[in-house]
Amino acid sequence: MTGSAASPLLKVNGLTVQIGNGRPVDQVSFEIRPGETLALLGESGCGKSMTALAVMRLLPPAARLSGGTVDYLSAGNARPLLSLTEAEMRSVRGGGIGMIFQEPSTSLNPVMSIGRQIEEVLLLHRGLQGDAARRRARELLESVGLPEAERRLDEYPFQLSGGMKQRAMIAMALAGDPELLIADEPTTALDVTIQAQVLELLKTLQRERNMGMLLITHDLGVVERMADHVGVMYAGQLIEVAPREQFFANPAHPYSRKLFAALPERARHGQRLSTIPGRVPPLDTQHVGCRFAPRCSVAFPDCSTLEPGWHAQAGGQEVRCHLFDPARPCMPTLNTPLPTEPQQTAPAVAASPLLQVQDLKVHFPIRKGLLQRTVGHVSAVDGVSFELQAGRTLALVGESGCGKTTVGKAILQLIAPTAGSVRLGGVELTALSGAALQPLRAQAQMVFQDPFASLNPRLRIGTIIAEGMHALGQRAHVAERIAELLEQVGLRADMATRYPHEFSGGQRQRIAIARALAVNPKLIICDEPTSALDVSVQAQIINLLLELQDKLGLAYLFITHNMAVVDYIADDVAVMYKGRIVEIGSADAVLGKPQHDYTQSLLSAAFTRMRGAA
Amino acid sequence: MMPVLLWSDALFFLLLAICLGGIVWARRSPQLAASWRMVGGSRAGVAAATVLLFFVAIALLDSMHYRERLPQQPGESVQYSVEVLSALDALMKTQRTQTEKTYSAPLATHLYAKESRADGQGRDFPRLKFGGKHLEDAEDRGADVVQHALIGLAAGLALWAGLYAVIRRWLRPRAQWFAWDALLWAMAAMLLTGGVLIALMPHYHVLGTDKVGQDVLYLTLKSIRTALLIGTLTTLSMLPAALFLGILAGYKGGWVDDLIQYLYTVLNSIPGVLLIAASILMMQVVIDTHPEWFSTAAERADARLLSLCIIMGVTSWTGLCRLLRAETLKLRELEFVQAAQAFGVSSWAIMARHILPNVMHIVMISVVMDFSGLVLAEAVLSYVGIGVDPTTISFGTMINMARMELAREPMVWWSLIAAFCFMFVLVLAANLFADAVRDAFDPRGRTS
Repeated sequence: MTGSAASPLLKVNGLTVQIGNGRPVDQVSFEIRPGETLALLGESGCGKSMTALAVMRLLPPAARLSGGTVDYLSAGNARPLLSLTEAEMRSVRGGGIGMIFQEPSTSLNPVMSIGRQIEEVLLLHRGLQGDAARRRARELLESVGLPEAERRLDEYPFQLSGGMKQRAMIAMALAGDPELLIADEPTTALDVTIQAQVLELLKTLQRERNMGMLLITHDLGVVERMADHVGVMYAGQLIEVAPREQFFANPAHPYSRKLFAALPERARHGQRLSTIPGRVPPLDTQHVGCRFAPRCSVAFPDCSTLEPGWHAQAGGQEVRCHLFDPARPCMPTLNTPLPTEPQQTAPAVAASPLLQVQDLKVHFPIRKGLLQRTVGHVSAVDGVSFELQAGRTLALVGESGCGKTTVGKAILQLIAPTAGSVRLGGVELTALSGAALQPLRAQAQMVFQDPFASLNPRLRIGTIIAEGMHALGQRAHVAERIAELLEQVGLRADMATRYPHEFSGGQRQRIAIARALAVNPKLIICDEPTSALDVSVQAQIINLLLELQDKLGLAYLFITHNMAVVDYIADDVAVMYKGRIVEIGSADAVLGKPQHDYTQSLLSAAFTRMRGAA
Repeated sequence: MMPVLLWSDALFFLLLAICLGGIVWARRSPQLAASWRMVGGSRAGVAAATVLLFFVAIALLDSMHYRERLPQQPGESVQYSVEVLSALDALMKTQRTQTEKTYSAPLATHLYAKESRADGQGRDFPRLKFGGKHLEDAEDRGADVVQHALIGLAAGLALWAGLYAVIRRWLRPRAQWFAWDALLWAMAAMLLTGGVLIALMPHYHVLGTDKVGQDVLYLTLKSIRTALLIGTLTTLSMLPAALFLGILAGYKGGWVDDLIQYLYTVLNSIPGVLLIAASILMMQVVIDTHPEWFSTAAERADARLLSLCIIMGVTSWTGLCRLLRAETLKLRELEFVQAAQAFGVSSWAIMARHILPNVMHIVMISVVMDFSGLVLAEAVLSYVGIGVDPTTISFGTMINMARMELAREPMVWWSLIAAFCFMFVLVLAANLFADAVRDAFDPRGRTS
């Protein structure tokens, strides 16, 4: 494949995992060489994490390994991981193969100091104890770039920030001197700037130690930065394997191509994003033919009956798709550009702004003592000012904890602002309360981040959508309006009688949008509406938001940390840092020529992908 | 005959009606129906529910009270007996009326204590007035008992076979998900035991007699109603306070939360038994000073039973309240609650529509789990003398009496064993059922 002639470190052949009748991992084969990174790429539910867990033999109780081999080739001798005893396996886990998990805050034991947790691994796999272990632990913490390593040894996880925790986690994984590191979405839970640092760290460590790495991610940007080889997974199968350059230059499988096309970016501004219709098939699907066929835009009749085999392409690329079968000469060509729909030009800027926020401050009191006296304040939002015109989109960008969500809630008066003014359509909101606020509630609504938490599981969809209309006294033609709204967000009117659990994440987000639209708002505050969704679904939701903006003239306050989405959707951008807006202006100006240091670091952390892939 | 509706009867019927209504309602809500289907699919749950149903049936029979009409003298108006009887009393008339002089062992033909013989020649164990009186020779008892038991077994088996045929032919094909085999096994156990008991009952004191010669089986069956009432009415009386205060504290926060927290912390730190004892004694005084409120002794005992339920309820709402507060604190931050707030929905409506339905699984679980604890608590309270009225038959009073019987020589073991076995089966069934309900309703337990 690549020039590296070293023998593989890990050889996985025909690995299959079964849960009930479903196969979350089906006949997966790959190899990893020392010093090389294989990235498994795919949407959630495609079996990426399950593959990693199967290699480590850490599958959940319901799942069982039903076939395949995993050979771990260490120092010349091969160890078949699937037939080792549990005791032998323990020396491999953490020793030969280290693992890093997604959520640093839950993968460290909160009641043990960082030092103790690393020393535990050192004792198990290296036999180090006492001073020697402590010295080694400090070295490890230093090697992962944790400042003041000596002091950190005695600190507990809650005293560390998310990025520091992930570094400590990496130090723990390295403590056993692994030859292979499995990183399961190592940066997904981190902020953009921290993400970049952690990825850089992993890369450096890999180079220093000549480690093999299995990287599991859904983020093309991470793949582009880290991988030597890319394996794309879909519905439990690997469907494309390629060296990175080859993959990014010329993704072969229709699914891979769609993943690229669904990425929001500046270059596509003014066009609709290409979406993949439907969703990843559920686990227990019995597949016939190509698994991607039902969602594939270039599928032909054979796709749904014949399972495609592997077809080698130039440059070490392999694809599991009939289109690349040399035995089928007259296939529809793939090289036609993916269809994109033109977008109408943005509406002209209205004369007076719809939303005016001036010097908004939100301080949370710190209470102490028996009588809960206020002893100080935390400034979550510290003097934020901006304007938003009707029909435009303002993106509020920043890392977690910078106060951007608080701004959204303070505008809606869900949190009482400490000072400042919020004027919606010329009416001052902060002065109003209770019933006087009701009519203005109809003008501004919110769409939340987590589609699973934002719908009451005990209510029917119709009831959920009607809630706002009832609360605001709009009682006429409720049923017709619900049907109309559901159609508007791309669902069927008869879905009103169903319950939220029957819908996928993307559909739930559509319902949440319908609920916000129900009261005919002029402004919708979107709080990270796509960050819990897969790339293809994210594209669907963004398209829907843009479509609704065109049709209804909505203004969006788009709160996000995802620069790619901002780049694609925003007319204006405001960058928030530690409760203040540090830079504000038109999207072209802010993203094109960032002035503030923080904006620059945000962009440099996020934009490698655009430069590499565009 | 004059039907009598005691307060506890009314509440018991009301509870049953609520349960039936709940079933109808659950069938219409797909989520509840799915959860209950999980309970129906769990073998332990179904078996426990089957056993519980038998207990409920007995309690139901025992809750249909009436007063018998006294023999009417010519020219007099109709008079009713002061004794309040229940349908169970009527069914077990022989057991209730055919009392012996004192202790007799299970299935015995002779008393457990020696008496001077009628002919004055020394002391001997006299024959019982009821137990085995059809036997010419007491030596035949063994064969007679086996014969009756076999008849009972056969009858039970026949009933069971009929049930099996019905389930196999009609019910199982319609509802494959239901754990019919568990139902059949539990029914087999209950029907066979029941068959043997019923076959032996007309001829023997199956579980012996107590100090004053009352049939122990009768006493045990009467105790079931008391246990069930205490287990359910107590929870019912505590639910409103726990639900309201718990959700209010969690949702409102601030000083409301502080106030409610202080309240239940204070209440929690008073020893429960002390509080119950004080309240019960006060109720006792009230009841004793107002004899005119009650027309029969049964009504008075019933008032005391109810007050015990309420007092235990008032002192035990804190646990559930704490759980609900914690859950509400979590729910309050969820986005659907915030979405409702953004629409300007009022706090009360949010609590009722968004919070309450989402904490019901906790209520459900804790109600079923508390049940067994309360049944046991009644036994303990009656044992220390602050439980039910002494005239009310309950597991607690039976165990209380057994204290003396165990110290006797030779020991009288059957009252305690009978009370123990029935209570054990009831509480075990309730616990197993509670486990099944928890597994089905607790969202964290789901594997998906």
